[in-house]
Amino acid sequence: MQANTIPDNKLVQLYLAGDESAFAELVNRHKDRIYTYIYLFVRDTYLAEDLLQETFIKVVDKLRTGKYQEQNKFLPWVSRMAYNLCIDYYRRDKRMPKVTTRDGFDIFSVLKFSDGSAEDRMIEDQFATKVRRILDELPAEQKEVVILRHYMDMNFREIAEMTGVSINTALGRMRYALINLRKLIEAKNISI
Amino acid sequence: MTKTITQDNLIRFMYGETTPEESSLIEEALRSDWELKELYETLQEGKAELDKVKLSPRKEVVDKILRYSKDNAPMEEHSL
Repeated sequence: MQANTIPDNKLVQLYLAGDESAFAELVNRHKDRIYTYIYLFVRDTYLAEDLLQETFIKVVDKLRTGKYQEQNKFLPWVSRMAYNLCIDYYRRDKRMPKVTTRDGFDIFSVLKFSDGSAEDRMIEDQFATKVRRILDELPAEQKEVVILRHYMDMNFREIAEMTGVSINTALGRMRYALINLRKLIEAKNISI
Repeated sequence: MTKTITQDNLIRFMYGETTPEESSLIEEALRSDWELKELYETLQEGKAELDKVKLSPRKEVVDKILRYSKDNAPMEEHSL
């Protein structure tokens, strides 16, 4: 069986049995998605890399100490750790948002906070700039669902719980986000 | 548009969150309902744009992660 066809959970088992290459496969399989998610959250390439590193260090530590419980959902498990680290960062940095959701945090008010001095440090390529421009034009609640569903791989039930809305509301926001995304790209003649 | 297939079900279908029975119903509806199919294509196009949004960390960052893993390999007794 080729490495890229082995399910995540099997790779975790192989890693726990001492196969280091299984962990490398997990990292390579998910690093871009998690990094993109963190980047969309913090808007700073260096900070995103630091948080990505911190996320996977936590993954190693938790696996090492037998704390991996969600055997069938490795990516959401890692994504949630990344999410918590992003929140911790802003709390440490005293950049708490003013708008709160059920868990006391609104990630998209944080996005706006990071646009100032962090942007000066940020080296963005043209692609990342286009990404941000397009996603920034979506209403905050739609952008939130897009990031949680598309990049964090959380299902709509989990998103509804996390954001304190009904599943139908989360689904509706995703539907409008996708439709708006198409309209924005067409209107601006942007190709990403 | 097919009344039994809601627009939100299309979203669940697109993200693989429908049951096999629901998926069959939606697939059937998509074959016969052009309005639903048109909406589905628009949603898919939006999703395809998101799929293109992929950034990568630098190689040295990945190397650091793998090095940490190597230096802190899990103990064998912690198997699943």
